[in-house]
Amino acid sequence: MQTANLPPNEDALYKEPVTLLNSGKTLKRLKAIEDISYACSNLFTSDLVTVAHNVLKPFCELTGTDYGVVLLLKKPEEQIYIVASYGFPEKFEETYNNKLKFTLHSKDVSESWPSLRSIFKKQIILIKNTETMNVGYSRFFRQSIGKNKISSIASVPIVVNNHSVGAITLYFKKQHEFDDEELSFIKATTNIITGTIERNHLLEAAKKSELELKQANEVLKQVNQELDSFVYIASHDLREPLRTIESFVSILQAKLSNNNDKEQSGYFNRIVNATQRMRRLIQDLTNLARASRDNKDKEYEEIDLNNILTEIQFELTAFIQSKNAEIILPDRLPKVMGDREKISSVLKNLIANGIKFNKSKTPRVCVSLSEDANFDPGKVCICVEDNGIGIEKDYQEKIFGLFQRLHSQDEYEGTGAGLAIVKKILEKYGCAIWVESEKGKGSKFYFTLPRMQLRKYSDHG
Amino acid sequence: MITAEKNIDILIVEDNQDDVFLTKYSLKTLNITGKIFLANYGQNAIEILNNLLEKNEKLPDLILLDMNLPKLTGLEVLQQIKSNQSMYLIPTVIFTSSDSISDMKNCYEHGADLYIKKPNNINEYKKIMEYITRYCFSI
Repeated sequence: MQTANLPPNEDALYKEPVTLLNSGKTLKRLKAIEDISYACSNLFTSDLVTVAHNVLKPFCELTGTDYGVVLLLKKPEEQIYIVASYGFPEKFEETYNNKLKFTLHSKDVSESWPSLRSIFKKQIILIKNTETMNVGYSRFFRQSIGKNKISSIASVPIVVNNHSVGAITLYFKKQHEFDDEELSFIKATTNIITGTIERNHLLEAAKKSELELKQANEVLKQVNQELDSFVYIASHDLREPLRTIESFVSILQAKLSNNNDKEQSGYFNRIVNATQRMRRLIQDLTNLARASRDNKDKEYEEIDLNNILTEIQFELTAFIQSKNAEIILPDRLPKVMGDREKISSVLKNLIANGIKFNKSKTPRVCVSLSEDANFDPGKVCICVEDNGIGIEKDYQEKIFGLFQRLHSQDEYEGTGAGLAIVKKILEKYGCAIWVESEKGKGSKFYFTLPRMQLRKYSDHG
Repeated sequence: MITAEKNIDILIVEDNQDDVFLTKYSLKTLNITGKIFLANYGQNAIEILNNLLEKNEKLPDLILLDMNLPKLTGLEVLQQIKSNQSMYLIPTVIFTSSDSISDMKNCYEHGADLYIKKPNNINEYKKIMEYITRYCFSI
């Protein structure tokens, strides 16, 4: 005979089988566990009802259980709900769940019910002999088992996050001795169900937050788009009255120049300068809004950077000569993708900045390919280096903000929108820009661009 | 240098009265005379032209057409003019504040003879008026 009455022992399953009978039983149990695990692993996302059904039946058959239930507390009233049952007559579950509707804290239920005992105590309840203990059952339970008498009971709580959410309860007609293996087996089975519940909770939470994130993202995207079109339209409409002001001021100015009144023409100069500055600001706002406006068919053109750089050098010829500057271009740059006009404005902006913010006698801007094994292989990293005035550490983030300037208008003209526009264009392609610089020691602006994907055509090969 | 033709009939399609004033002002200081037809709406411009055709009167030598018009847009007016057998030969100059390349491309694709961005001061205004009034006879 087997030794009974042993406390639950985790190692029990791994003990050497003592007799042939035992070894056969262990194998059978291992097989059952395998079946149960398999059932669960196949039900990774599935509902608990199916899991409970698939687990309870092999479990009861193996342990010689006569009646078995898997109970769960259903929110919000904590209804005691049978998700799976074994050995009971047909319609047992339906009547129990839909007609009787026991709830955990109502008068109709009793703490002497073995399942509730384990739920409240959060402990495994083992009753070898029901006659020695005060064990209660619902009237319906008694009716369902008919003339049969229950002698032994095991009830295991299902605990998730330190809260009992249900129980598995097994009823034996004959007095049953619970051995180590059986206890381990009961625990393992409960763990499988607990695991499934936890997983379902996590999955639900993940699904919910994913959905929420998606919705928030949609809203944000829409607001952003609205804001961009607002800026675009507003800046466009602001130009009209400004143009009128400028035009009429220019008429007045022409008329006044005959009077030779220095004071008056001085005032007019101020008006003219202010309107010109305003026009540049509005123009930059328009450019900024345009940077993020969609132009679907041009978003991912193939671009030859060498070609663009030559064009920029040509466009800036007068500026380069007036500053006695020099631009050094690389021999060969990889092909990239993007809107040609926008990518061109990124490079032009950075090169012109390198010459503009420069006190050297021979301002020099060098464009090169920056290669590093850590870079995303889908991106090309370009470096625009100058021997200019440099940027203090504290301001290296700030310069990419809209209308951020580090110098007065007399020192360096401009609206301070250039780098903000550059950043916005690059961000649209999921690309970044950063700067390495020290005051008085020049600056290195690094930025990435999407690499032209040659593999697109050889993927199937 | 070709001497500018001084007697030119112009149809100005423009809803902004400031621009109408500046255009007229520039023409006057350039001593360019001739009839000036004004249309605040795109529809007016088509009506004026149809009216002249009905009465068998002389059509304008030049059309100055703004893009951003209420109701019928400048582009739609342009399409109507350029698809009309009796009107399409009139030089049509798009005179607009838009500097968008796609707008420009669109206008030329629909038969505009010239696309000019509105200037910011009177001297440029005059230069432009001088240029387009001379240009309208060179087509």
